[in-house]
Amino acid sequence: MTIAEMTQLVGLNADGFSELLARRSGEPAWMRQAREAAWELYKTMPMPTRRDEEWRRVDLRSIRLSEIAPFAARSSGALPVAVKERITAGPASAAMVVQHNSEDAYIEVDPEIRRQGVTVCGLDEAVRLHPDLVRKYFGVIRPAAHNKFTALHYAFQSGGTFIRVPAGVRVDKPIRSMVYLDADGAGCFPHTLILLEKGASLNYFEERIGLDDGRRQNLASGVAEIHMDDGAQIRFMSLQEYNRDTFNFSSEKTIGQKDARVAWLTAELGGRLNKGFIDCDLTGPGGRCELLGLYYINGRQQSDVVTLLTHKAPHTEGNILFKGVCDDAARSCFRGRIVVQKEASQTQSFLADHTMLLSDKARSDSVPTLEIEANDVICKHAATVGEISAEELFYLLSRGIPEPVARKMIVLGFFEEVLKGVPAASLQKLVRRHLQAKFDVHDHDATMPGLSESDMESD
Amino acid sequence: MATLEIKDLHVSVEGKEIIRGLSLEVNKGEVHALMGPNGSGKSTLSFALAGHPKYTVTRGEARFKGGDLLALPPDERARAGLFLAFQYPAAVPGVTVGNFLRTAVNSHRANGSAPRALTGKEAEAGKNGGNQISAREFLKVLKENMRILNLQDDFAFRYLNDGFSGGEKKRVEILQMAVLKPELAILDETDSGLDIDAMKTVAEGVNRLVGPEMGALVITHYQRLLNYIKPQKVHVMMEGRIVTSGGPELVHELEAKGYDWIRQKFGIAATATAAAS
Ligand SMILES: Nc1ncnc2c1ncn2[C@@H]1O[C@H](COP(=O)(O)OP(=O)(O)O)[C@@H](O)[C@H]1O
Ligand SMILES: [Mg+2]
Repeated sequence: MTIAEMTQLVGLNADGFSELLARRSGEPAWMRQAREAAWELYKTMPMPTRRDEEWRRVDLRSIRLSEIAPFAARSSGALPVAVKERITAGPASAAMVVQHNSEDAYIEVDPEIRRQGVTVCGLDEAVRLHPDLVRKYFGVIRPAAHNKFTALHYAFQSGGTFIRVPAGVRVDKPIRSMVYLDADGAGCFPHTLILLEKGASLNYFEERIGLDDGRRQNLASGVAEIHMDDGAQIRFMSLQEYNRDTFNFSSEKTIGQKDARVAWLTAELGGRLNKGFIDCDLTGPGGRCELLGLYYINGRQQSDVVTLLTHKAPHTEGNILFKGVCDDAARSCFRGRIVVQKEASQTQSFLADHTMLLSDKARSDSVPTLEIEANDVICKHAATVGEISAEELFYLLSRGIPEPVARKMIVLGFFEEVLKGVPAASLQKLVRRHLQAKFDVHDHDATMPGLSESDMESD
Repeated sequence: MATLEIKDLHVSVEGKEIIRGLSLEVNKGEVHALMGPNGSGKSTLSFALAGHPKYTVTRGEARFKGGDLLALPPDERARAGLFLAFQYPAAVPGVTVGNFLRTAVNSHRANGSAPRALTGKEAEAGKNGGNQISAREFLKVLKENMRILNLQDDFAFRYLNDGFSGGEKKRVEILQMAVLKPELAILDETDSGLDIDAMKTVAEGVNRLVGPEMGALVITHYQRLLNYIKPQKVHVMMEGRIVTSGGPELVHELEAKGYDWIRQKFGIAATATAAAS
């Protein structure tokens, strides 16, 4: 970022907001009004504190909002090498949408899915090309008022991805969305809007990446809204690797109608702080939602995720499973919540979260809630917080495996239950690799001698 | 110098002395049976030799191939060639039998030196320059041994001992022994929970390996297994000591007369060992 840009656009404050509006002067009036309404809302909402239950475990006091730019241009015209590498490292895709800092940087769509009537583009482009659709669905299921950082998102939104899959069309290869943040001291506000018509099916994979040489704070606040008509299916996979100076807020919600199938998986590795809200409403009979998550944090990273699965119709099924590992002084909280409304009889829903602590200073809390208003329901929860099992460790040692390697195997093995839920084998490998890499950076001795799970599993 | 040489060993668990002056020598090529009632300290001895941190050696020594076994951490003991088939093997969810065992083999091959740090791509290509076993080569060895032990191929990809039946666990212990080729194996009640066919399979697995390259200390409290694995020497353990040793005929004597006969003969109170599991 040039000095001119920095001095021009700094501060998630009134000046910054005016600057952003000026930059976005070409936007339709309704969009501008939405930003202004969100900004007004943001100003009236108090900054969450430790006294607010859902924010009790995250420390927001050190965010310096006035030093974070509301918009960061791409740092260069060409795609950064790191982005190109990430594109090829990931699975072959039906479409690829890349955002570099606050701007759309690259898009590629398989002509085949175009022919089938699938729409994929950056959200900013969708505002221009599909204003009626965006206007109708944008901010509807996850409104600005959800929390202070959602309001901030709707005021400053730039970038994100828009996907619409028409009735009956299946997109099997993933549509990928990548946000690459290499600006230092920048805000990042991508919005994901996905519309799945009757019987449509989508595989979606998003990556949120931050270059790890920042000194100034970044702030990301992303929102995803997923509308699913009867019988629609989504496999949603998200990998978050923002840098250690990024305060990351995310707020995602899916509404699935009759017979909708949601398979969700979120993997959080990066960020200084992650505060996530993942909601799913099953509003029609036969709906099913599987919400999986994993996180691996160390140093002083914090993670606090709230999941809310609401059964609003009979014969719906849900499953929430989160697994996290905290090392060093990292701390986490997982608040899993399942609500079974009165109408939702003959529903079954399970909630489980398990955390492994690798150091004396790491901490984790689990706050499960089941609210059941219907009869004839099966609903259960389980939660554990533990350390590496001494017996498992001794078993591996007794076979000649050095201790750092043994510890690594057990920790990575702990995630496998969740990783198994990753839809595509190639994605599974990718996430596994990134988990390993994070472990290795932290503890170089732990590299397994010549062990590669990929060649084991491919036989 | 014997391969394994234990002299006047004393072991405590949680402050309580369990092994009280045990001496024993086992060589490569030999099979020794260690018999004794429940609670006499057989598993404690195995854990102490394998280096479990909960088991503290308070006196005596154990030498392995001439070196001080007790000075080594557990992984180095294993790499030196000592193997323990556990009475109750731990389950390690998320770690497949194949990956676990290949890592173990490569750890042995890396010979204790810190494994070279490989970056993702290098590691994947197997470009570790050393003598590490390739996935292909390893799978061949693994499958061969699984076939001999009547284990389906898919065990390679199942999580270690996770949801395995008692018999499967025991066979997977022997599988590990077969792949790691130790110089001295301690088999802690490898026969318990096995039906007769499974026991024969396991015994064949052991017999295949015993020879000039490997000795075995077979722990059991039934004579059953010893019909299939023939020991040259039999030791009877009570209250943390070997009270008597003999040839294979001792197995039959024990079978016929029971441990009480030994107790009477050596003046050991019956109460001391009765309650333990
Ligand atoms: N980890 C342990 N913690 C406490 N006591 C133990 C432990 N391991 C063994 N013991 C005790 O040591 C004694 C011998 O047990 P063990 O070695 O398992 O005997 P065996 O294998 O001959 O049946 C028993 O009294 C048992 O309760
Ligand atoms: Mg025992």
